[in-house]
Amino acid sequence: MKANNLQEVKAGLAPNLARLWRYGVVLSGSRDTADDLVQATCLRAIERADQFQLGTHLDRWLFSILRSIWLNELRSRRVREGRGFVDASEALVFDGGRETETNIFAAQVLREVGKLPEAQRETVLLVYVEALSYREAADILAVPIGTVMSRLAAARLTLGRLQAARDP
Amino acid sequence: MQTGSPHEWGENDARLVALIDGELDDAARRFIEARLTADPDLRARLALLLSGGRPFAPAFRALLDDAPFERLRSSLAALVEGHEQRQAPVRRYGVRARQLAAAAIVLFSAGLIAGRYGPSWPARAPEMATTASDREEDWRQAVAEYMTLYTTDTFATEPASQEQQLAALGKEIDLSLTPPRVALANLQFEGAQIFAFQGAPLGQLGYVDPSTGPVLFCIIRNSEPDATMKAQQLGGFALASWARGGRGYMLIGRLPMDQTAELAHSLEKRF
Repeated sequence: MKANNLQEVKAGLAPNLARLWRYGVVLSGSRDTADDLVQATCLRAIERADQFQLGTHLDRWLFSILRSIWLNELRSRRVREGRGFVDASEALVFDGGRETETNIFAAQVLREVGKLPEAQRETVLLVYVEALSYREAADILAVPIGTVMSRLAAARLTLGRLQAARDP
Repeated sequence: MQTGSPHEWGENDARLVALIDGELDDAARRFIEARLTADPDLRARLALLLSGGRPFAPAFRALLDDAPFERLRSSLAALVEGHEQRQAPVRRYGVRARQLAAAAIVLFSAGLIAGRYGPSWPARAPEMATTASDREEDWRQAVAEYMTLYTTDTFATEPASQEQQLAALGKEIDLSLTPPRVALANLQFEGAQIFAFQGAPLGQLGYVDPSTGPVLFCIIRNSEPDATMKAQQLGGFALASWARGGRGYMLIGRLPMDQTAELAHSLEKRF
């Protein structure tokens, strides 16, 4: 194992924990599962530190690992157990202790995004929250750029229609 | 009302979203802007997509504050500490053995993490608790992991004679080892090292096959119950293992499976 890679990966994990956890919540719709996903991601990143390309973005590499663990291990188990559909709207709503107007609006946005299909939720997160380019998001999601565009369009159409229903 | 096929609308939507997000190149942007000027349906569609925008980033920032940061950080600290401890070399004898053990331990760690915690993850699942047979499986997995480090050159400079190495190793695992007893047809014996796995002495005899490279014959004195020979593929290697008299035996390499099994049977007769 290349020592520099391991060092950089170990040092870079802590600053990314909260963002990884958030991605885990968006994917799984469950805060407990997100905890597990973050732990498994850290473990695998340390294990496979030699595969990390020094000088590239560690956060994106970690996102890819987390996503692959979700798809290949946890979600597939959930599908086998007949619980394939994930409604993330509850898990996404943050701690309601601060009921300011801003928070209420933010909670509504999260709830709306939480009701989108998983593929749209995570694309919205990567592009509109993590501010990745279409190309970067496509790389993490392992899909063509056109798929990123059509997922964002589908998400915006759903949210646009919700808006239209609220403001007739 | 929309006109055109759903497929066309899908393509239009994708382009309009890319326009909103500033992801179109100049030519594509000019093209769609020209169409927007001429097409009121397309303008209505753009308006709908625009109204689907939200202040996503600030809304999701609130979720970051909810992350169980302390818990995640202490799990990470434990993980890193565990990993560093497992990297400490286990030395029995010899400078080369020490170097190899250090290298092996790194991969042992990887193997243990993958073998013990990986499949059993999430670790809380009670049915995944480590059992005796898991531990027995672990040492095979660990060897398969660190074997990825070996090349033909690994054995290039062994200071002690074959007899001396075998005698020292035999003492550790309480077996009388001699060159004829460990010889393998068509393979060149290259050296013996002693490692330890979870406190159990793990002896390793290295060979080179002219066409496929390193082959290892491993013996661990770990009191595991007798088991008949089992052949399997593990991590890209062919592996045959059995247990007898409180010792586990394994032959592993990139040889064809049938040749591995044949060599393992010839060893089994001698141990």
